[in-house]
Amino acid sequence: MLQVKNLVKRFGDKEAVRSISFEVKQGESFGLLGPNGAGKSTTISMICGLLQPNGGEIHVAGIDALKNTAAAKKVMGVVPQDIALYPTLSARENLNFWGAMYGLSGRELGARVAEALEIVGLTDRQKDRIDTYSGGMKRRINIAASLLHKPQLLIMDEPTVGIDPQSRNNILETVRTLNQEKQMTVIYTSHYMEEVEYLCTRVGIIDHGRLIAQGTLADVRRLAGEETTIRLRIAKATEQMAAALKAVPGVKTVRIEEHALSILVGNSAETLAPLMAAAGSFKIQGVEIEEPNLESVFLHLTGRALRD
Amino acid sequence: MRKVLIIAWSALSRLFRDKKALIVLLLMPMVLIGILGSALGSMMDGGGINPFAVVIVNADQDAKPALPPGAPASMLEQLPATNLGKLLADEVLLSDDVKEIINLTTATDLEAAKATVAEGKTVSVIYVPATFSADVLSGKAANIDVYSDPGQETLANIVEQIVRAFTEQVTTSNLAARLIGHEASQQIVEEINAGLPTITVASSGAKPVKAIQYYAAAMAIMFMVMTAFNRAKDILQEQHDGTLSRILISPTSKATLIAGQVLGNMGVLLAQFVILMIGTRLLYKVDWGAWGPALLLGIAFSLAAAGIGTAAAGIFKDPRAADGATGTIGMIFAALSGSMFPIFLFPDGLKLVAKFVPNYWALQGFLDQMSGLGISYLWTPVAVLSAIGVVTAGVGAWRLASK
Repeated sequence: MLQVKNLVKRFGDKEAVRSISFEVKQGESFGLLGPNGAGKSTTISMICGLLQPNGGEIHVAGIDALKNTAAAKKVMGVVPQDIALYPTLSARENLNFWGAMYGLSGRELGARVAEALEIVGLTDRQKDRIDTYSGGMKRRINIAASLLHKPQLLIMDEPTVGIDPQSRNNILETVRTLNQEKQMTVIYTSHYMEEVEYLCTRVGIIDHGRLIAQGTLADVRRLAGEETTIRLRIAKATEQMAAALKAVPGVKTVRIEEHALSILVGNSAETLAPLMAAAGSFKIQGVEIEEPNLESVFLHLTGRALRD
Repeated sequence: MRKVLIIAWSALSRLFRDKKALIVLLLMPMVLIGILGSALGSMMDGGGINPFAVVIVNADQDAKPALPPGAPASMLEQLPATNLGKLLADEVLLSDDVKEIINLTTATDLEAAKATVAEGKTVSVIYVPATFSADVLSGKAANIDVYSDPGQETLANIVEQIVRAFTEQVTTSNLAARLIGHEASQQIVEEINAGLPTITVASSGAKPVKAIQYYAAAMAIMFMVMTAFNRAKDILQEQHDGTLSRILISPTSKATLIAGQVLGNMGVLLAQFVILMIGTRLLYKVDWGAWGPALLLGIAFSLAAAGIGTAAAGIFKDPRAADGATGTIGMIFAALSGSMFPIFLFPDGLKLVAKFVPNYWALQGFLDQMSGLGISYLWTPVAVLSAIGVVTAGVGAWRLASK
């Protein structure tokens, strides 16, 4: 569905995107993960024709998107990071406008608008002005506006920024439905790794304009190694406690944190029981087990947290 | 084209849902027109334009037309001697219609008469040269000179219009040509005899412009410029909010988007103008002159203001930057063009600078139409405003496209 080859974008001396290549197959849900300023939005802007790349190739549904931009735009739906709607118009009026921008009109437009409102669950509020909506509802209409022309490829650029958990869940479910039930190919960018882990089967991690890792979720997680972090909550952690735990077989490192001991182990299932036995006298207040995730992958690959 | 219209219509429909914008667009100008029109009415109107001083220096000599070859010399005696300068003074400038607005005095010393213009005592001096009648009757080019106070442009326009109408009528009636190529006969003599007195010079129809009319035009123009700048801020806000980018993400070209924005600006401005024109007509009984020319001027000024708004949207980076600057520019435009104080109160230098402001051309155009000067006074402001509109919209489009 989408092939991106050696994509480059420079702003003056600054290289914002450095020779990025990836592929997204029909029906796939691909997550593009990276911290703010990593180059995700610039990459998306080039794919959807807003920015002209300095180099590389983009093919969407077999169309050369750099040579035949208009045709490529017709098969893409883009949910921008901003709530790009007219606040003084109602939801229906907004959708009518955006549908018309994709060449829809008359009954077809009316039917598509009704369908899009149904998908995002806002049919009953369709006549209300956007400026009376909550942040989450605005985000849902923002998504609906990109579904009107039934795109084959849906690109969502951080669609859950700044909304409440309930709306966020609603949006994630909508995206999942579109991908799994309506077979829509989805590219989802976020700096929330849990969203990408929930929605996507394949991911790419961008940092400083480079795609530093890509593959299935399992493949990418494996890049961080097999280690699991076990965190023991203790009122006052000491050096003696750390030394006692380090002697347990399977324990790789023990780090003293404020009110906790952070223990890196090779296999949590095998090591947890002897570890707890060794810590029997420590007055443990709680135990947390962190399996490898995209956050730890990013940390492993860059030495920084995703939201730094 | 459909998308251009949809983008333009969207701008218009969003505007008419914005109560705050509507107050600025329509309510404020209507209130100000009422206040200024009634407050300054006594100063400006005095029951109409006060009759103003005009001096005529008629050096014209009586003349008879040249006879065509072969015509008997005795015919010349039968032809009446004509003094077109006297005709202008007696039949035109002292006619009942014109007497209402012009205080005519006669003089013989041109230089002394011109000095009264320089002193501000006289609006215009009309000088009819000695050979005027002879030149007209022999089919030669003939001119009447009008020396006017540049500070009294509207009043001077009235005088010039009257003189121009007279000159055009006597020169285009081909008095001399009627004799050439015809048999010299009693019939020709009768024709000339019958013809000369029928040279009727219609009054220019110039009427005094009342304060309420003046401020209806002046405030409409001032607030239309403010609207144009507000539209510029709206475009910048749209850019900031991402709706412009979203349009470009769809299969819509930059050219379509910009054309839609310019057309939208123009639609908003024209709607504002029409509503103000109808509103002032109904509420204050403002006479805008003939509807057609007034509307044409409104369209031309909407184009100019839309162009300026588009240029501002192209030049400024964000709505906040545009806010301060456009407010100041709008006020300077309004003050320079006479929207706040009548332009005849301005010093000469400022009057010259005013000609670089589109508001000036629009206001002069509307005042000319309100005083009934006719369609010939429409084309210059319409052409200037259209040119300003095309150039500024072009600059704005280029700047927006490169953003």
